[in-house]
Amino acid sequence: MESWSPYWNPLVETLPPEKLNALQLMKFKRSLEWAYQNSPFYRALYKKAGLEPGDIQTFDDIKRVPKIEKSMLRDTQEREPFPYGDILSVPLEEVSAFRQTSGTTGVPVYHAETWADLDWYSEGWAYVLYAHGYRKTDRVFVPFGYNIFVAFWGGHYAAEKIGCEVVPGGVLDTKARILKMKELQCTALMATPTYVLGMADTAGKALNMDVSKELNIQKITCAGEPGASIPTTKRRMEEAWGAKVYDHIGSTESGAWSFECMEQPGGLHVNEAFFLVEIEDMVTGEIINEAGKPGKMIITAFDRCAKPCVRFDAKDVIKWADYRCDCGRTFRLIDGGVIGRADDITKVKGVLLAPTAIEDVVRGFPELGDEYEVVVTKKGEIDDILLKVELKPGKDREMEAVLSRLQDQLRLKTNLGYRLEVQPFGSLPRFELKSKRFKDLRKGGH
Amino acid sequence: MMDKASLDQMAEYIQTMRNIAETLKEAGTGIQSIERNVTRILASIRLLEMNVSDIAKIA
Repeated sequence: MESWSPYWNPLVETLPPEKLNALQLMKFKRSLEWAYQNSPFYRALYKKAGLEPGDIQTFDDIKRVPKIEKSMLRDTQEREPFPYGDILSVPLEEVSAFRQTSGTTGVPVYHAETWADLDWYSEGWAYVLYAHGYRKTDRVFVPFGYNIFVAFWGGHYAAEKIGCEVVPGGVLDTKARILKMKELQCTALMATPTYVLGMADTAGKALNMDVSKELNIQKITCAGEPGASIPTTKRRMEEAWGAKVYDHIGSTESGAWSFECMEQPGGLHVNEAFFLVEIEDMVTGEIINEAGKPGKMIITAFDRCAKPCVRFDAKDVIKWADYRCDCGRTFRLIDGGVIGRADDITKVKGVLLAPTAIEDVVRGFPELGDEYEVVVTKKGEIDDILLKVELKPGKDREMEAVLSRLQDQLRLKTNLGYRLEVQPFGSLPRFELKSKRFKDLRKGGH
Repeated sequence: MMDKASLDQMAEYIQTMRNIAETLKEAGTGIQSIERNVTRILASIRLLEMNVSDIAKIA
């Protein structure tokens, strides 16, 4: 049996922290210089701030560099060259692929990829998949049409690079995907948490199949939603599939910047060789270095060519972990993955509410189905939270007791009271890609 | 952690690969099958620089 290193690249993954810092500073300066020299958008932004690339000499100087955010990226699309706008940092004829964001938070943002960018994106994913235990003996099923979204393209090419055999299952429907995984004895799977649970559900209902017994999936890589870092959701997925479930976080703007390793320490490593992750206090704007204090992530992706990503305010809320991982990587950990979105974590009845906390409670009840929906409205001057859940078949007689315990747990974990509504099993919306289970209708949202 | 001399040696190999690829690209100017395939090779060399040569610089 061939033995493998636990690391995709031990040269960087075990680098002492002071060396890692030196590497990051060198790469930040290089990325800033590239953006300044090649992107009219970045150059104008920095000139307006009175900043020259040479001004950045230390880590402390980095906070002087203006942040960018999604609305600015959308604005650049109004300018030439079409369709990317003046953030584009290479000649248009060097662009080899068009990508766009999913549009979950508004108008999609377009992204240009050169060959070098696509290789870079896939390399970031290779760090992720290797840490999840993907090796050249694996046969990997990807149950999505990759379409104009970059994520699973990166996953596909990274798996190929590692030496895996990749089965792109995009054109099949859910039943056909399950049967194809069974036929080919696939060993690994990449999907959103919602779809991982949905496939297991479909296998049971439509095929009378227990995927944990009849399939050979040993590891599942989750993307797109925070579920694999929510303990009760992760447990549901692992039990349903009889497989290890690993989280990773990435975005079109930045790339795959964080991953869980096989130790599953409760947090995710930040790939600090490819990214600089800063956590900003949402009130003071100060950079947070201590563990346990949540803030907004500001991310720089080193060495992207066509569309540089320098100090992007991703609106993801994260916190540094106060524990270390036994895997030997020196990359820092964020505790519990992405806690929420800065624009999702909202005050309800004067209390800060993160939708992930509700999910953790709901999925801790074995009597409840996987799906739920939260609707926040205003009744007069008072906020109202309606939580819709589904009871599993055969649990009707336990309904009263379950709802009572659910109400208690919700109050304990979120400090809020809810109106609970039980929906017929299977009636709440099912999703394949990113789910939308939290609806705040107080300001005309939907 | 690999010793500095070994890292430097690998970084030198990578630089040599870059030099050869760029020389080939120039020699094949006007021949698309050379120019475009070398562009892809250079993208891979760039990743080796990130994964190795950059580490040699700060080691």
